[in-house]
Amino acid sequence: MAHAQGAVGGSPLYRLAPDHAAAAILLLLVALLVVRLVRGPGARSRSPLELLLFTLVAGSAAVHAGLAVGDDHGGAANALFALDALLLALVARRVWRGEPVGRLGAAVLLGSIVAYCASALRGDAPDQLGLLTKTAEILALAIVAQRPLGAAPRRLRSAAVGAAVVLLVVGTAASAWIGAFRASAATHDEVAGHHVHGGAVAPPGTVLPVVPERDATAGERQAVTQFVLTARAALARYADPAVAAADGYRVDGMRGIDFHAPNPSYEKDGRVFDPERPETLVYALAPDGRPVLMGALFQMPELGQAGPTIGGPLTVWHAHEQVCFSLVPPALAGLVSPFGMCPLGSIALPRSGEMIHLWLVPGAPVPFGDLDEAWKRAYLAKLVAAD
Amino acid sequence: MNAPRTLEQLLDVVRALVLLQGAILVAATIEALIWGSAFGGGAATAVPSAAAAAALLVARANVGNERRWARRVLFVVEGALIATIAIDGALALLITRALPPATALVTRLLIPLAVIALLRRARAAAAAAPLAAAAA
Repeated sequence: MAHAQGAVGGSPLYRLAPDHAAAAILLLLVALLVVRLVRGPGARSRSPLELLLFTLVAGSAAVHAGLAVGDDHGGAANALFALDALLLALVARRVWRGEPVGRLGAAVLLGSIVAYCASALRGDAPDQLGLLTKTAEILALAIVAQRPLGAAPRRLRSAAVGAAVVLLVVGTAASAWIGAFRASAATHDEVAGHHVHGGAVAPPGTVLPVVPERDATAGERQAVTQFVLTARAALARYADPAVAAADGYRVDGMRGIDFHAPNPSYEKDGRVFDPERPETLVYALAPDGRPVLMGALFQMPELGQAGPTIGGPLTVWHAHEQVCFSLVPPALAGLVSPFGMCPLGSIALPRSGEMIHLWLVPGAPVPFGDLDEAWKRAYLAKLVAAD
Repeated sequence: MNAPRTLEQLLDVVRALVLLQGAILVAATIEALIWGSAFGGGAATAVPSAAAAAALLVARANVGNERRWARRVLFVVEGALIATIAIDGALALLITRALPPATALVTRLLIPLAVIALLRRARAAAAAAPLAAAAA
C-alpha cells in the first residue's frame, strides 16, 4: 500500500496519496460503525483492550478493502489487498466474539507489516494512510503478543514483546524513509531543474513547484547565461572563506561536501535573487581538506512568495517542509519522521520560503537546482589530482 | 465488572500504548543520531528522545506495581509530547493553514491524551478497589 506516486509538491510521506482516497473514506465509514458498536450493548462484556484491538484490526481491514478497490497497482496487488482485508476482518470478528486470535492474529498482522516494508524498500513512496495503518497494526500486534487475552503477564514475555515492537517500529520507519527517498530518486533527473512534471515525486522535506513541461526559450537561456556569468564574476572572491566571513557569511565549522554558509544580514535586505549578494554560499571540503566554493543559494524573503523564474523551466525554485529544528542546542535536527516525530525538544517547521541553488563550478551539469553528489565528489577528486 | 479487574484491563491498554510510544521514540532517537551526523549537530539532539524512550519503556514495566513514580514519569513524558505538538500545530496553522501530518496528531496528541485519561481512570479504579473488596 505504500505506492503513492505523488504529484510534484511535497513528499507523499506527509500526505494522503490521491489513489488512497477510497481507502480513507472506507476507514471513516468503518470508524463510525465501530463507534456505534463500541457504544452498543454488545461491547459491555468486552474489556478495553479487546475493544481497542477490534477497532485497530477492523480499521486496517477497512483500509485494505478500500485499497483493493481504489488503488491503481494492478490486479496482483489488489488481490493481495483483498486477501489481507479478508484475513484482518476474520481476526476482527474473532476479537469481537471473544475468541482467541493468537497465532492467526499475529501472523496476519506481521505479514501485513512486513509486506508494507518490502513494498517501501522496493521504492514505493509511503503516505500518511499507509503509515497510520501500520501504526495501528503494530499496536494491535503488541496487544496480541503482549499476552493471550485474559492470561497473566510474564516479565520475560513482556520484554520480548517490547523488543519485537521496537524492532518493528524501527524497521517500518527505516523502510518508509528508504521508500520515500527511492521514489524521489527514481524521478531525480526530472526534478533536477529541467523537466519537472506532474508525475515526479518530491523527496521528503522538499516541496517542488509544478513547472510547465517545455524547453527553455532562447530568451530564458540568455537570461540564465547572463545571470551565471555575473554571479561567477561577483562571487569569485568568496573562494577564500576568510573574505566570505568578513562579509558576514558564517563559514565556521565547515565540513562535508554540501556546507551551507548563511549570511543573515542578506536575508531581509530587500534584494531578491541578486547575483552579487546570495543569502547563502555553498562550500565543499575537497579530499585534501581545502574548502572549495561550489555555489550559492538564493532565498525568497517571505513565506509563500514565489521566486523569479528568469530561466523558465531552468530556474525551478523549491521550498522545504516538515523540518525539525532543535531549540537546545539550536540546530537543524532533521525531518519529521514517518511516525510524525521530531527529536524531543525540537519543533517542526511546516514550510520554509522558496530557494534555489546556483552552481558556480565549471562544468556543472546544471546551472540551477540539484547537483548530483557523485558528480560533486568526482569534481573534487579531479581538482585534487590536478594539483 | 469488579474494580481490580477493571484496573488491570485499563493498565493493559496503557502498557500497549506506552510500548508503541517508546518504540517510536527509539526510532526518533536513531533518526536524530543520523540527522545529527549529517547536519553536524552531533548527538545532543538525540538525548531528550533517548531519555524519553527509556523513561516510557521502564515506566511501562512498572506502571501496574503501585509505583507512583511510574505514573508520574508517564504524565511528564506525555505532557512533553502534547506540548510539542501544540507548538507544531500552532506553527502549522499559522504558516500553512493546515494541521500537522496525521501520524503526528495520533502519536503526539491522541495517544498521549488517551494514556493520561486511562491513567486517571485507573487511579479512580484503584481507589475503588478496596471499597469493592470490603463490600464483597
